[in-house]
Amino acid sequence: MKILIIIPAFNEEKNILNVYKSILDYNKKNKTRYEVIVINDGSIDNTGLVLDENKIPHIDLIQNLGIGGAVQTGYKYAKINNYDIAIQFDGDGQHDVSYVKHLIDPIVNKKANMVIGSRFLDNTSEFKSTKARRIGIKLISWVINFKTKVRINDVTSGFRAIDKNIINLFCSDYPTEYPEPISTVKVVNHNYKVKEVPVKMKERQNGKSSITSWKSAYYMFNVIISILVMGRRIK
Amino acid sequence: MSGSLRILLLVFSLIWILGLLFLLKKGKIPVKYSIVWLSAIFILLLVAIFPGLFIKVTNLLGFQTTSNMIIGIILTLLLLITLVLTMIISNQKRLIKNLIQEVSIINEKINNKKQ
Repeated sequence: MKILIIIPAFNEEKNILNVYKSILDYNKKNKTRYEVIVINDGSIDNTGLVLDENKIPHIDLIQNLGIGGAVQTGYKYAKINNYDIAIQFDGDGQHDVSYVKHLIDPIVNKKANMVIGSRFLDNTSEFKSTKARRIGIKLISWVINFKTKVRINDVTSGFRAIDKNIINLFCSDYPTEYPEPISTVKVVNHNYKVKEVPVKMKERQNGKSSITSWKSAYYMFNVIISILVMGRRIK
Repeated sequence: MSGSLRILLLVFSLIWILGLLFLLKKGKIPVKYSIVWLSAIFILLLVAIFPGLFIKVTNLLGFQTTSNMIIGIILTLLLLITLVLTMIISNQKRLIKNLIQEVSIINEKINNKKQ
């Protein structure tokens, strides 16, 4: 099984090396062979330099595309290089590489096509975001359940694994804006199996999150409309 | 509708058509996109040439005056054109995104080979 960890990075000069090292360390300790590709989304800080100097495998996007376009680049790279599983992983240190195994297992055992690392399934994760944001996530989760009859708790989680079928699906079409919840609905609509597993998430180590609080309401509004106008399940 | 408004409309439409044809000839806009503009002007020309027809429609639709209806027509056409433009832009955005991704992936391949 060829496994690729895709790390979208926009201005992550302070975090990206630590994240990469944590994956290398994990590989060494557990004899795993997770490969990494960082998608440098037109960073204007020294992210590119850090990637070059430390020989971290990466693709420099020649223009900033935003999170959706960056992650899709990773999926396209996974398809070209024939990876079996692609994992989206944050470049800011929020995600813990030791949970990658939990994400991969259901795919390896053919129990799911897509596995989402969730903060809300149990008490594994102490960090569960702010209250306002949690209400927003609940609301989006409810709308997805209403539309697809599938319950997904952590709809905005950027820690997710997909198999080859979904890699192909996402290569041909991946939402550029608000990709996490919308792409999940897409997967469900194509009758693929989505599973959630509990993971631990930390608060980001350095820098600012891409979603500021005043943007959250706008984000939610957009996501809910997108989901409501999306087509139904393919029968 | 007053005679002067008709003349104004006629002159305006003719200038528009000439302008469009000029742009088309110069290759500044493709025929595909000029059609929505041409049909918009065609409707205005119809109003200028056959005002009688439109006075009836004005009364039927409940507009106070024909000039009000003309403004209404222009507004609707503009909204339509804006919508078409939004569609075109969205499609181009997608194409540009694919291009950026492909070029960036190829760049990575080239850099890898160099090392």
